Amino acid sequence: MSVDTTPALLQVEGLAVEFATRDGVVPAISHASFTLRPGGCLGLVGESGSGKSVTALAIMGLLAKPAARITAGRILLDGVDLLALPPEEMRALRGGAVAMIFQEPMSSLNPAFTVGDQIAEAVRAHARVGAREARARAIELLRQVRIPGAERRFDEYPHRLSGGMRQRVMIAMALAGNPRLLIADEPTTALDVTVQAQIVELLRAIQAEHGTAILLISHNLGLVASLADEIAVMYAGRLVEQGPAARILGHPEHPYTVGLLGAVPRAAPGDAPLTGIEGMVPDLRSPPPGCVFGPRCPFCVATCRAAEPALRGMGAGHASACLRAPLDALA
Amino acid sequence: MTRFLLFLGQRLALVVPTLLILSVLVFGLQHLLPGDPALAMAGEEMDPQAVDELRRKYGLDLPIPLQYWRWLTAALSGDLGMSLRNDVPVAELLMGKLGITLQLAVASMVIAVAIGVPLGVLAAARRGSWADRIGSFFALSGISVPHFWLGIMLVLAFSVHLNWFPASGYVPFREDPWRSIMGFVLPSIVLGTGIAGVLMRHTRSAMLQSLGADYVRTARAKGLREKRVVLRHALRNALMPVVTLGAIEFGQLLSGAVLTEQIFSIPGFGKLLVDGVLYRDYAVVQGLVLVSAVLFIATSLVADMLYFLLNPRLRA
Ligand SMILES: Nc1ncnc2c1ncn2[C@@H]1O[C@H](COP(=O)(O)OP(=O)(O)OP(=O)(O)O)[C@@H](O)[C@H]1O
Ligand SMILES: [Mg+2]
Repeated sequence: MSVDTTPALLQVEGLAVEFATRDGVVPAISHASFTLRPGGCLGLVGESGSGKSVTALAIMGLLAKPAARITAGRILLDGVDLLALPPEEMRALRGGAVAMIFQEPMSSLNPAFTVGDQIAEAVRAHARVGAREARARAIELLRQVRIPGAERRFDEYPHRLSGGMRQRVMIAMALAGNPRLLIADEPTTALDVTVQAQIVELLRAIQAEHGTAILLISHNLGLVASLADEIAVMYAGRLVEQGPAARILGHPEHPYTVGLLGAVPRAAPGDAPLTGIEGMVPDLRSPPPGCVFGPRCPFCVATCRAAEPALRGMGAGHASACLRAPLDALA
Repeated sequence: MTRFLLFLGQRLALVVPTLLILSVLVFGLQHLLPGDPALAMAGEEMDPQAVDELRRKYGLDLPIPLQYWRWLTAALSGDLGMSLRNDVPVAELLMGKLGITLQLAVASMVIAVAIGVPLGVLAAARRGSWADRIGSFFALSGISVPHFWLGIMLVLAFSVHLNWFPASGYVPFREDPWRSIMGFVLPSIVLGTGIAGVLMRHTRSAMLQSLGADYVRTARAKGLREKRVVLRHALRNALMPVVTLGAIEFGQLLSGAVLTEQIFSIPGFGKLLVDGVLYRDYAVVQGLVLVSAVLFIATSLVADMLYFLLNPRLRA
C-alpha cells in the first residue's frame, strides 16, 4: 500500500479471527491487511466493537485461548510469521520486540506488587540481570517516562498512583524489553484531557528517541491525527480505508471515515447534515449483504448491496473499500 | 505500622461487644436446656432438702441477672465453675483437652491446605480439562461424603484390613510420639478432606477471577512464563479470600469435631461436649461453648490481620 520501499516491520496479511460464543461463531476480524514501517506510527481507528483490540491481541498472541480462533492470514514481524512461531519463542517476543499497553491503567497493574517490582520483573523477563541491576534499570525507565521522584516511586503500590501515572508505569514496563513495536490500545481513553496530551507527548518522544514503531489504536481521530503518519479505518472487523494520515484526514474516501470525522458530507442525498454516524454496528454473525456499512451509509445504492467491495487504490497509497469513491464525484 | 495498629484496634473494639453478647447467650444456654442440674446432681435420693441445699451451694436460687454477673466476673478471672460430674474445675478440664483438639485441628488443616489449594489452582489454570473435572469431582465428594461414613471406611481399610493405623484411641505425644501421630492420621484425613473440598472450590473460583483480570493480561504481555503468571500474579490475589475462608474452617475445627472424635475415640472438645450434654454438666458445656467461641473470634482476628498484610491497599 505504501510507496515507501523500506521493508515493513509489521505486516498483517488477510487476518481473520473468529470467536466461538454460545450464540454461534462471531467473525470478529475478516481479511484485514496492513503494514507498519520501522519507526512509523499507524493509527487504527474505528467505533467500539469494530475489532481493534482483537487485532492487537492477535499480534501479541494473547487472544483468549479456546474461544478465539485465527482462521486465516499471517502476521509478519521482520518477515517472520508470528502465527507459526512456537509458543516459547512467541513468549520471548512478547514484552521484548513487541510490547503493548492497555486502555485500563487502573486495573492493568497488579495491586499486590509495587510498581518498581512489576517493572523490574519485565526487565528480568528479557535480560539476564540480577535483582540489583533490574532495579536500577527500572528506576531509569521510570525516569524515562518522566515520573518525578522515580527512586521513591519504585516502592509505591499502584493504588497510590493516579491514572496518568499508572499509564506511565505501564509504558515504562512496555519499554523494559526495548521493543521495536509498541501497541498502544486506547492509551488515553481513561484519562483526563490534560493527562491525555502528556501521554501523547510521551509516546511521541519514545518514538523519536528509540525509533519505536507505534500501532496506535483509538476511536478518537483527533488523537490519532496528532501522532500517526498512516491511518487504517476499521469497521465491523474489516479495513474500509487506509492511507497516509494527511490524506485520510483531509480527503477521506469512505463514508464511514467521513462520519468518524464528523464532517458534513458534500453530497448527502437527503438534506440533513451528517454529524456522527447514525445507526448501529451490524451484528457480526449476520452481516448485511454487500457492503457492511451499507445500512448506515447515505450514499448506498443497489450495487453496494450486491457484493462486498474490496479496497481499491485511490492513488498516493490511499485505498478505500467504497464502490462509490471518489466521493467528490457524488456532488 | 501505625495503619496496622489502627486496623488491629478497630477489630479489637469490635471484639469486646461481640464477646459480651456471646457471654449472655452462653449463660442463657443453661436456662434453655431442659432439666434441672440440681436434680440431676442429687441423683437417686431426690431428697428435696438436699436438692435445695445444692441449689444454694451453686447459687442456682439467686435472681438470674445476679447469677449472670457472678458467672461473668468469675469467667473473666479464669474460673469457669466446677464440673458437676467430675468435680474438677472446668477450666482445668478444658485446658487438658485443648491440646488434643488443637493437634487434630492443625493436622486436618495441613491436609486440607496441602490438597485443596494446589488442586484449586490447577483446576483454574486448566479450566475444563481432565484435571479440572477430576478436581471438581474430588471437591464435591470431599464436601458431600459424611464424616462418619468416610471415617468408618478408612478404619475398615487402613486399620482393620491393612493394619497401618490404629482404629481408635488417643496416645499422648509425650508417652509415645510415633503412636500419637499415627493415631491422628485417619481422623485428620476425615476432617481434612472435607475442608480440602471447600478450599479447592473457593481457590478455583478465586483463581478464575484473578486469571481473567487485566493485570494477568499485562503479566502475559510482559512475556512472563505461564507458570509465573499463574503462581505469582494470579495466585497472590486469589489467596486473600481463601485465607479468610481457611481461618473460618480452622475456627470451626477448634470447637471440636463431635462425630469424628467419637468415631476415633479422641478425647477432645467434641467428646467433652457430648459427655457434658449427656450428663447435664452445664458448667462444662458453657465453658466449652465460651472457649470455642473465643478461639473462633481469635482465629478470625488473625485472619483479618493476614488479610491486611496480604493487601497493600489496606496497608499503605
Ligand atoms: N472474548 C470474546 N468473546 C466473544 N466475542 C468477542 C470477544 N472479544 C471480542 N469479541 C468480539 O469482537 C468484536 C470486536 O471487539 P474488540 O474488542 O476488538 O473491539 P474494539 O474495536 O477494540 O472496541 P473498543 O473500542 O470498545 O475497545 C466485538 O464486537 C465482539 O463481538
Ligand atoms: Mg478495544
